[in-house]
Amino acid sequence: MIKKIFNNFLFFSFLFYLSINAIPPQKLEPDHCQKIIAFTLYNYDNLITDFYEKKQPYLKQLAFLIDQASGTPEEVIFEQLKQNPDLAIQTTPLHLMLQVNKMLKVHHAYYFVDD
Amino acid sequence: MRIILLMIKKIFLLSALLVMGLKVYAENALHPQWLNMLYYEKKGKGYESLVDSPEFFIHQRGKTSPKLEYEANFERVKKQDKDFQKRFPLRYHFLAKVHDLKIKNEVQQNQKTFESVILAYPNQHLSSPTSMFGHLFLILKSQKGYLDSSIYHYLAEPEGANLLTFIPKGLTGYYQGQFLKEDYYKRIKFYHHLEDRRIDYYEIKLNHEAQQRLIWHIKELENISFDYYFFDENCAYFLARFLNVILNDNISNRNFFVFPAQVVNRLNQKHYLTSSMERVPQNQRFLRSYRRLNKKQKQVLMTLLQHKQDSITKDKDVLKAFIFISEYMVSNHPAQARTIWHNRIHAFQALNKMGEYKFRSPLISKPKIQKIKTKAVSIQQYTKQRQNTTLISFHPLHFIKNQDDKNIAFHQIDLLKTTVILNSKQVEGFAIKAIDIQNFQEYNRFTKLMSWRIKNQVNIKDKWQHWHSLERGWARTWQEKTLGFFLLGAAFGNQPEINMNGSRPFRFYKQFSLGLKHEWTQFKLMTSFEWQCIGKDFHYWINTQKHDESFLFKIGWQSSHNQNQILVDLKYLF
Repeated sequence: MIKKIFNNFLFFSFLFYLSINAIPPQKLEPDHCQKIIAFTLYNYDNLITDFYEKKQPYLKQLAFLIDQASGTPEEVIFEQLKQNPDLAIQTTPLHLMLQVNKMLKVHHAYYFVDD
Repeated sequence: MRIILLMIKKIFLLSALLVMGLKVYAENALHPQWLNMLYYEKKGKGYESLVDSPEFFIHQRGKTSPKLEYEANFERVKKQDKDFQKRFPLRYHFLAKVHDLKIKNEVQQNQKTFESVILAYPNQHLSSPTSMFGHLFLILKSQKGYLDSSIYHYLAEPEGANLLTFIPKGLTGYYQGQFLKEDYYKRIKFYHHLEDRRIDYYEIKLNHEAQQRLIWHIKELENISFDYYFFDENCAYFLARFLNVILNDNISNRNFFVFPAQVVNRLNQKHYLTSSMERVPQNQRFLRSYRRLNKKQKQVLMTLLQHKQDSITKDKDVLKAFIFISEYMVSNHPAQARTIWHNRIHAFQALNKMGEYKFRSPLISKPKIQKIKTKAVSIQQYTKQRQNTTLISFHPLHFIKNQDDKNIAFHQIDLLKTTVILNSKQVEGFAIKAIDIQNFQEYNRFTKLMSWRIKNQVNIKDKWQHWHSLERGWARTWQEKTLGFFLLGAAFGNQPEINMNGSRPFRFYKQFSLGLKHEWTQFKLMTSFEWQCIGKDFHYWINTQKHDESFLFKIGWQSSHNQNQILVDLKYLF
């Protein structure tokens, strides 16, 4: 019985892996991309500060803009942004933007800027 | 015969109706709401709109004729012209309502995207001539908060303007102004990080109709330009005119000079402001931290701003001072940005480990909305050898720094001060101090802010006396209570102060000043001493002043040309 469940799990995991890799990441609508890029580059200082402050209004707004562009719930994006240790250590606005882009590609198969 | 009589009656009735109709047109065309919506102003016996864009008017002569413009607009409303409805939704609604016409739904598409409207007043910024009296803008605050909001303001952005070019061009209408809608987060960065200004925020009470008018009128003002005049057709005046339309009230007062504080006061006086908040500049927080650092700590701070470091200091005070100044430094010295960004992350991590999680300057709610004092009257008495000279002055434009700033560095703007000079109750002469601006700010090797003072005065006593001086230099503070300064400059004229003895040749003079100010916090008193050298002469004075919200009382002693005099000064601010 356990072996059967395990085999099924392996099979479905394999299918899931295939399905994820089968769909190439989609670029979000240009208007939304522009908004996300502008917000990330303009507010680099404040976005970084958010990772080390008690309140995170800038990360919340970034999550909201991504939600508007993709339909992924704002709360999900916000948690992913907050918990991503790579974002908090980016030392330039450009690097931070690309890192957010990479995170969205990996987790949600969409992005807002061509690498 | 009866038929002829009937026809005459009909013609008479029709004529009466026509005359009445024309009269209604003429009356409505001069309705304050109509005049406000199209920015008309009285000119001679007629009117002229402040708008310079011809596309703002339907009638060819609309700029100078409210009546013709009214008729042309009304024709479009009667035809239910869809383009007109979309381009001028507020005019469409106004005319349809006045003439009891059915309102079509096409214009309802302008959806409300804000929850409340906040008036923001970035205070005076003496380092920039365009911002010397502050600025005003509206924040259309979204339900999601400030970061999702827009700002709306009137702006003339003269690129590369300095005091010498901006003032003459600004006075002659060289610049064009426009109403602009921008993302809040973009514009606020300019005020927060680049100029680091103190900003006062006031919530404006707007009912549903006013909010709707605001949305429609913003649409109407898209890509519309006006002439910009520094004194009276500036950001404050046009925002007040915009609010006239929105609030259906008279907020704007056309004076010789219109400035933001007047508009804030007028809205407050008419009870449109419901609450207020302020943002303390990060620079001020930095200065407070910086003053507490010793020499070695200041050196470490300098290293953090100039060199990338992977192993960072554990000194909490240094790290906090570094965080407070970092955004200002990045904005004003971009060459250092990469170093500062790199070190900031290490500084944040170290401070988090020490339990520090608050870095941004918060918005502080103020208990009540206070009137901003912009004028003053004063009486000064000088006594020497039992002889009294009295100066009675009116200060039509007078700003001093807020008393709650907890910072001894100060600025003062006193323009067009007009004085009557009395000697033994006889009028001895008059004086006009056109410009008296003092900007004392703490110099340090990071912000490198210089202090300066500019004066321009003409006295008419037994003969004409002039004095025009400009000084620039350094100021520093100790313990937040003492400020010392050293200024170097030049002057042109023959008499520096009204009450000074003797007269000197009319020419250029080198001038330098040394001064000290100390605040006795427990008594709310300030003592000032200044020694000034003009050419080969010098004079000095010492005084102590008591200051509250509305009154300033000063008593002092002055010495020049080996003659001493006692000064008593009382100023009322309103």
